[in-house]
Amino acid sequence: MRPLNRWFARIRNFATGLRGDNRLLEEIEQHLAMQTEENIRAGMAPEEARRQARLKFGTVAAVREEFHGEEVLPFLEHLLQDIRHALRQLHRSPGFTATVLVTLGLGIGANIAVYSLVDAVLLRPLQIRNEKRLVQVFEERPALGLSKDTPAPANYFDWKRRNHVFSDMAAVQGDIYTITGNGRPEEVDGAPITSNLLSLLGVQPLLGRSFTADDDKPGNAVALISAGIWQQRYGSDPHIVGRTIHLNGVAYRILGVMPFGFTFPDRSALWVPLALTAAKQLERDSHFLQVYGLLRPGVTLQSARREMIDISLQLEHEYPATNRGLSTSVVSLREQLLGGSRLAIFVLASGVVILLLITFANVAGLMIVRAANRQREVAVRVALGASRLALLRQGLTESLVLSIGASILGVAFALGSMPVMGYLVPETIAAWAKPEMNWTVLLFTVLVCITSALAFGLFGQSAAAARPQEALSHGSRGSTDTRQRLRSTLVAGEIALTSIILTSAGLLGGSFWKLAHTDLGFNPDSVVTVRTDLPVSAQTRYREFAARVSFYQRVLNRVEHLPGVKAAGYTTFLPFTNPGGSTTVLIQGAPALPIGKVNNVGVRVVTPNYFQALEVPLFKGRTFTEADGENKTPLVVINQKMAQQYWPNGEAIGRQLRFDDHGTPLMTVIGIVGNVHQANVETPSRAEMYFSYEQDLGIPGYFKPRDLAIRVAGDPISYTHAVETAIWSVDPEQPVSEVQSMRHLVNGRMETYVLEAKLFAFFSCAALLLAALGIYGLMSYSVTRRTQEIGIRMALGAQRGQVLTSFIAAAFRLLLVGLALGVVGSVAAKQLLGSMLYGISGIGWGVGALPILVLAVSIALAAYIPARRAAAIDPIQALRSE
Amino acid sequence: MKQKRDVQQGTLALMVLKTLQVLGPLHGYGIARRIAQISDQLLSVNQGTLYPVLLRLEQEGAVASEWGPSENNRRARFYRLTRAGEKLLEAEKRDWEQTAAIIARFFEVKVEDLS
Repeated sequence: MRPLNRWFARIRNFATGLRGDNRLLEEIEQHLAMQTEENIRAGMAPEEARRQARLKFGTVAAVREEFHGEEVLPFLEHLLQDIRHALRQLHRSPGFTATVLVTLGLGIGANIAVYSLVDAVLLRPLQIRNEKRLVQVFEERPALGLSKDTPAPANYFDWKRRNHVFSDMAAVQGDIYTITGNGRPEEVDGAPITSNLLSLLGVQPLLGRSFTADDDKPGNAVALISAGIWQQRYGSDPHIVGRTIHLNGVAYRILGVMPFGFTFPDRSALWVPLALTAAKQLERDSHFLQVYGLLRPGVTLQSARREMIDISLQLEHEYPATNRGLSTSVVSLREQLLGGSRLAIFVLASGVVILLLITFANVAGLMIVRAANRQREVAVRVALGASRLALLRQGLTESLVLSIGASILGVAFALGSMPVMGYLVPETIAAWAKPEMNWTVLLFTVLVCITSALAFGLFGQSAAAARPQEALSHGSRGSTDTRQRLRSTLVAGEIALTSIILTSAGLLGGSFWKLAHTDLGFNPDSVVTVRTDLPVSAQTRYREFAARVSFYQRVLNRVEHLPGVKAAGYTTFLPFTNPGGSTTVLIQGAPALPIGKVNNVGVRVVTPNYFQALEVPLFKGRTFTEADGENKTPLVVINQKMAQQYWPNGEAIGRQLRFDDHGTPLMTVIGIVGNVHQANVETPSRAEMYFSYEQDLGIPGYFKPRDLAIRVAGDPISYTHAVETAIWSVDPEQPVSEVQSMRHLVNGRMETYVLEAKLFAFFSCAALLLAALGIYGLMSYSVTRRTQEIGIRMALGAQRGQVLTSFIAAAFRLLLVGLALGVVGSVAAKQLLGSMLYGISGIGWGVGALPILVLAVSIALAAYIPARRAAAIDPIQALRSE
Repeated sequence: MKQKRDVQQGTLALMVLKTLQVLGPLHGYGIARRIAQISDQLLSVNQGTLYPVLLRLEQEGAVASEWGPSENNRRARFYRLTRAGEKLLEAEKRDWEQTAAIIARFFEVKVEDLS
């Protein structure tokens, strides 16, 4: 109770700014007067009496201070004093202050920016309420090399009916809509959804209502729009519900507006009812849905996976024609959306933390010098009675003030770089997970601020003179040497960290360069692509082979006659859209394969001008022509890889093969084309077979051509409207999707690489600059300190050149130490980056060596300037000076 | 040096309380004189150190103070012991006696060992 009372009294006094001084002064005055009177009575002269009274009492000032110390919160008062003192000191050395503020500000700012990214992507829960229990369900067809494929409607409905692990399942289709009216025509991603999708996700519309089961019937032209569209096209009209929106020429009634940032899935801005017709619902052969499930409480992902596999086995039994070899996979939604970005973000975070450490090292070095300069002042204060604690407190306050200033700058810098950070968010959650300055990020900022204040603040203190008399006398060498050694260690550490960043940057840069310059086997520029997935199930008009052939012919005819079109061709899957699409074959004349081994070869069905459209070179023989429609002989065109793999010693042309299936015909190889990267940039090409679209060889309907590639003159995107019109003139009801330039398709994944490489390049430059500054500062100070010594050496016969080289050699010694320290880190970095790097083994140490060379040169340059100053010392001047 | 002061502050407070208990309300000078009389070696400690101690005791509620006329009709601040102060004094007294007893026992043991 006692201390508590005291505390309350203290706080009260502090708040009211009370000084009980007046009362104390009066009391003291009275006390002294009474003592004086007694002294006079004892026989002293009045002045002597007064003086003795004073002596007996003690130092009034000290008493007042202690009295005051009991009155208020001395800690806070001292803090305020210290802050004022620190600000004054910093004001007096603007160069130092500016340097520290800027470097530290950048370092802290970069860390805040990256942390906001980490927060947005990895830490913040997604906008979807049920996120934790949401999964996505895919079809898997390993035999055909298809993974995470979009399920067919009939399969979806059967899964939904038969499962016990999901409390609900919903389906979504991806589509593109052209909005007209209320503004200029705009193309947006839209999603036909089942009526239960929104409740499955746990998301409510901002305005209006979501779909009901009634809405989910064919013919219901109702839609939900995004908040973005509501704002931009309808001016945030509060009476938006009931208004119309024209999608692809059809008027839809707006039922509601979805919340800001909701773009599920991917980048949808519109949602309409999926409204599958009864016929479509039975389609088991047309795969185009995205299926989501909500796990029942208590059901694990594993058990859901098991049950789905069981169900798909049942379906395989019941519908062998369509579902043979078809299994399922279940992936948690978050995992699906984030994918491999976790590693990329982690790497980025590591890089930026290392940069901050380098900044700390630099600032710590500066603090040491500053402490050295104030040695004398500190010594005087210690002699006057300042306690170590008070000095420490003052020093740390100064560091804290600097850190706070730098943090404010850092926040400003981070805010400015938010958009850049936004680019690093994976596309799938880009609209939700925007890096922003929220409470978590601010808290992080505060933590970094305090850490930095401690990190380099203590360095400033460690160099403080403990022995006042030594500091007060001239030429205090001893402590300076330890100080120099401390600084040298810091600089070596900086170099080590810089080498790690440089190596990483080199690896990333090299990897990116390799990616950008990989020969893909085709030319993606000036090509526009389109997907028309013809439904082939029993009820559709395209169930007949001939009907499909006719479609392709008519579309190609129209498209090829468009002005500016050079070549157009269909294929099953364009490169970079599907890594799978393969089957097993038997080579005629080859020895039987051991049990369990199969020849897995990619399958693509193409129209004759496909190879020209993508500029895939022909090496031997010929590709298909229109005449091959009449040809009775089954034909196949293979790629070089396949030729090398199966006929390494001889001629592949004329050889035969067939599908690993009973009753399939023998097919003859007529041509060899170049290898194409089917999956992505990193994966090399595999053995590939191409078939003519006109030959009915019993290839599963799944392999029907669906992607159209058109080589054009000029900007590919400018042709999209014409191409769509051409297609719709053949079949107005055929959905056209995935309209984009081939280059855009190919570059898809490269964007993150590019940005990461750029960021690391920036880190490298920053780190290099800081390390160079560190060396420069160290050398420069050393030269100044040793001016006399150098003068003596030169007077005794040392050449200027020798002095120069000795300094540069010292710098190089530090460089080597730093590199040695950094090697471990660099190797670790290579391991970590491993999965992120493309062709890493190929990159090897050549790429790692180049940045180190750059580092060495920078260090040499940084050391050269002070070294030259040392060499230019006039011995006589040096000996005369202090 | 700080440590010594701390110990002295504690004992000084105790002496102040006891003085006030025995002699009734006193002003600062009076307390200083009485303490000086009772314990001669503490005289070397500056009288001024008394005032922070008085303030602390006042904040704790062990003493109360008010202005009043001194012997020579001067205006002086008089301190008196409160109920809480009385209790505090008793508690501290017990603590001291206990400590003294333990220390005494230690000294006794030494003498026995020798004999």
